[in-house]
Formats: sequence, structure tokens, C-alpha cells
Amino acid sequence: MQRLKIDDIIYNSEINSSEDYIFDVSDEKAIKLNLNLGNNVNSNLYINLLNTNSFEFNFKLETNSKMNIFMFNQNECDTKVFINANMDTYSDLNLSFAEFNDKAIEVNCNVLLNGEYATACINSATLANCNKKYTINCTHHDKNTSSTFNNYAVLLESGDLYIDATGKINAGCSGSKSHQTTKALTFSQQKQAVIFPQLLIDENDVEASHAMTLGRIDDEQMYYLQTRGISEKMATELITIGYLMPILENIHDSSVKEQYQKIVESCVNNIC
Amino acid sequence: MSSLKIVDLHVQIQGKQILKGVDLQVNENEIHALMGPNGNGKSTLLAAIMGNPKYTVTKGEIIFDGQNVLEMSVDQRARAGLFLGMQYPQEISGVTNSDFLRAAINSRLEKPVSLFSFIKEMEKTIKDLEMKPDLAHRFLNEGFSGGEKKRNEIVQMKMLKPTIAMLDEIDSGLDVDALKIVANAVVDMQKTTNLGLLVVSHYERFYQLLKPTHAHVLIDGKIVTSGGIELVEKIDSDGYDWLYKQFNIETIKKAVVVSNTLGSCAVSKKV
Ligand SMILES: Nc1ncnc2c1ncn2[C@@H]1O[C@H](COP(=O)(O)OP(=O)(O)OP(=O)(O)O)[C@@H](O)[C@H]1O
Ligand SMILES: [Mg+2]
Repeated sequence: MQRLKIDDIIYNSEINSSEDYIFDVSDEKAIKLNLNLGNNVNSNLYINLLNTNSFEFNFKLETNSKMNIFMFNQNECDTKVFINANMDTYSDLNLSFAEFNDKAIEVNCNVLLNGEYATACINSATLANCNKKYTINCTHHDKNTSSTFNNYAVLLESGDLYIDATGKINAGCSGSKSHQTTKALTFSQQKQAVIFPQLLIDENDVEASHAMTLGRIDDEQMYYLQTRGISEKMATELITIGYLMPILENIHDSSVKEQYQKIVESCVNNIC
Repeated sequence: MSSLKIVDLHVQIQGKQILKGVDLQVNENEIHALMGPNGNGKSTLLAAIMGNPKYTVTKGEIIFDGQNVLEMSVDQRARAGLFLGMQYPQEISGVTNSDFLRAAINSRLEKPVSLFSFIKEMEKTIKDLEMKPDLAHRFLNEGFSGGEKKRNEIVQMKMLKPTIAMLDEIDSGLDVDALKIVANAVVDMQKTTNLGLLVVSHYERFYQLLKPTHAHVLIDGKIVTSGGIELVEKIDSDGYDWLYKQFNIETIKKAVVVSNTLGSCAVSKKV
């Protein structure tokens, strides 16, 4: 595993062998990262957003390459994130966003499935106690491509959450699949997450679905936990962790996972 | 000596008066059986003592070890030593039984319990109740059978070590063997910790295993009569009819029947 500090304004990188990286994106300026993953390369990438007000990440997955990206927002400032992904034939992307901090974020993510059998899975876990906004588009440009979205969120009293997730299958892309699962739980009496899961489909021979659960925490569940001596804050933390911690299953390195788990626990403890 | 004292308790739910003046004292080392036809306020009494926000206390007092319980939040009541084993335990997805119990135990401690001793105690308790060992790692009550949920309430009670515990129909949904296991676990804990118990059940069988020191019958929001185990036996053989007659509460019984579809079975086998 290599650890790199990304603090140049523009950072270009080619990954041509199967190695794993940790990128610490820091410095208060806008940062742009261009990355190319070569043919047949398989890589895990952990991106820590530490202190950047704008981060643009453009990457290309060449034929038969596989990338697992875990982006963990630990920013100390509000930020904007732009992601543009181009995916060739048989490439495989697993992209996860973990959001547990108390700083606003706006994410714009565009994934283009350009080659046949390209597969993208986009996951997010968001604890929102401020503004968090995601626009995620996955566009299918070739046959037998597949996209999956798993968006999980917990909304607290001062949270505003907006998720616009679109799977678009163009005409001619037969055999393609687009599936979405969205779950949002709110602890706020007034607020509700605003979520638009969309499927735009121009082809008959496809598989597509979306499942959405939006709900307020059940008073009886909170009461049950409290009858055991657990305070309202602790109950909120327990339920939040239960809801969002599974995002860490996307991390295959046990020491990174353990370290992130601690950060998540302390963030949840601070925010809830 | 620990004691829970209830004085002239009046409780409403959604504007409807359910309890109409309940007086009751449960001391440590005592086992109180609370009986009564369906829909007459037994669960309401227990929920009000625990502080369920759905219920509003409109009059009366609840004093636990000299503290005014009505001024305490639900979690404070629990940490003070009250426990309620529920008629319908909640399912909480995503939160494992062990994380939940550890948080509950730690909420009572200055310094968190060591993981090792916690796991050891949890494993032992699960074994005592003859439950499947994977229980600790499953989500709290999620997908548990009715009987497993009830046993899990007792697992929690044993681990949290309250001074006064209330059990709401903990025996319903248990098979014959489980009933004995649960009753033994309760009796065992009661003896070793001097636990005071307020137990709601419809079945004499469970009370015979527990051997209550006191028994009460709650009808239409009031305790209409109290006694010892012989009261449990009389109700088991005669139902509640004699009480309606003796206390001249025929009209109220009718009202209960009308307002609650369970009313017909509430009057038990003698009808
Ligand atoms: N939300 C509610 N609104 C109106 N009435 C309610 C509500 N919840 C409970 N009640 C009523 O309160 C009364 C007392 O209910 P409670 O659950 O205390 O009875 P119980 O004695 O425990 O009965 P059981 O033996 O069936 O468990 C019942 O008539 C019930 O219908
Ligand atoms: Mg009841």
C-alpha cells in the first residue's frame, strides 16, 4: 500500500500495476486529480478528503481493469466534489462515499459506461446534520453494461439531504441493468430527506428497478432502547452506526477498515 | 430497602382515562402478581411506571427509593434500577444484541465494562436461558420468534440487574419447557439479588412456578382486590365474574366489552 499526499493543484497519475493507494487530499486550494487505470489492473484506492474546498477527480478504467474507490470525507471545510469516470469494456468500478462529518458537501458524479460489460456500483452512507447534496448519474453507452446504486442516509435535526441518482440506459444498450436501493432514516421531527431515484430507459431489453425506504425513527424503538438505560443520544448513535457502518464492508484492507471505523464512531459521537 | 410505591395513579392515553386511582407498593424480595381481564390497564400501569411517552399521568405519585419517578426520563428510571420486560418487544435492525446490551450496561458505569467479562457474562446468560449462541450477534429481536423475544427480555434483565423488575406477559408465547426455563431464571435471579417483581400474566401455571408473595386484580383502572397466591388460584378456577358481582362493577364490565373487542374472552371461561 502506498500513501500519497495530493496537494498539487493538478495531479496526474497512471496506475499500471495492481497496487493499492491511500490518497490524502489536503491543502485549502482546489485540487484536480487525473488518473488512468491500465488494462487488466486491479487496484484499491482510499481517498481521504482532509482539507480541500474543491476536489475534481477524473479517471478512466481501461479494458478489464477493476477499481475499488473508497472516498471518506473528513474535511474541515465545506467542499465540492466532481467525479467523472469513463469505463471501458469489462471494467469494474466500486465507488463508495462515506460522509460522517459536520461540513457541507456537494457531489457531482458522472459515470459513463462506454464499453460492453462495464459494471459500476456506487454506494453512499451519509450522516447529515448540515447540507449534503449528491447528484449521481450513471449513463449506459454500450450493451450488457450494469449499474447499481446503494444510497443510505441518516438525517439529524439540522440536516438537509438531497440525493438525485439517475441510471440512464441509452437506445441500443440491450442486456443492460440498472438497480437502485435508497434508504433514509430521519431523527428530525420536521425534516425529510429529498431523494430522486430516476431510471431513464431508451431500450426494451433491460433490467431495472428501484427500491426506496424513507422513514422517521419509530418512537417505540427509541422508547425500547431507553427502557434499558440508554439515553436518547446513545440510542441515536447506536441506530445510526447500525444503519451506516456497513459502508465499511467496501474496504478490503483490515487496518484501513479498523482505522476508519474509529473515525466513524467518533464522528457519530460528536454529531448525534 | 428498595421499594416502588404507587399512590392514587391516574393515567390517560389519547385523552382516554385508563387508570383511575391505582395504589400499590412493591418492595425488594417481594413477588407481586398482577391479574385482570384484557384491556383493563395492566400494561398501561407498567408503561406509566417506566415512562412511556404515549401515556400521560394526570394524577398521583410514583416513588422509587425516595425518588420522584415522574420527574425522571425513561433512561434515568432504568439506570435507577427499574426494568420492564415487555409484552411486545421491539425489533431493531442494524443494532446487534451484544452492542445494544453493552451500551445499556455501560450507561450505568463510570468506566466501560471490559469486553472480555461482558462476553463471558453474555454467553453464560444466553446459555442459562437455553438460547442459540448466535443470539449475541444477531440484530436486536429482528426475526426472533415470539418465544425467543421473551427469553431475550430475561437475558437483558439478568444482565442489567435491576432492583425492581416488571414483567408484562413474559410467559405468553413460551412453550412448556421455555416457561420453566424462564421461570427458573427469574426465580434464581430474584433469590440471589433480592429482586422485587411485579408480574403480569394470565396464567396460574406461570405463577405457580414463581410463587408470588402478593396478588392483585386490576379491573377498569383500579385494583379491586388483593391477596396471596390463593387469589391467583381462585381466578384460575372461577374467572373474574365473581369479582364483577362482588364489587358491583357489572356496568363497567359492559363498557369495557364495548370498547374492546377482546372483552368477550376477558370474562374468561365461566361465561
Ligand atoms: N392509543 C390508544 N388509544 C386509545 N386507547 C388505547 C390506546 N392504547 C391502549 N388503549 C386502551 O387502553 C386500555 C388498557 O390497555 P392495556 O394494554 O393497559 O390493557 P391490559 O390490561 O394490559 O390488557 P391485556 O391483558 O390484553 O394485555 C385498553 O382498553 C386499550 O384498548
Ligand atoms: Mg397488556
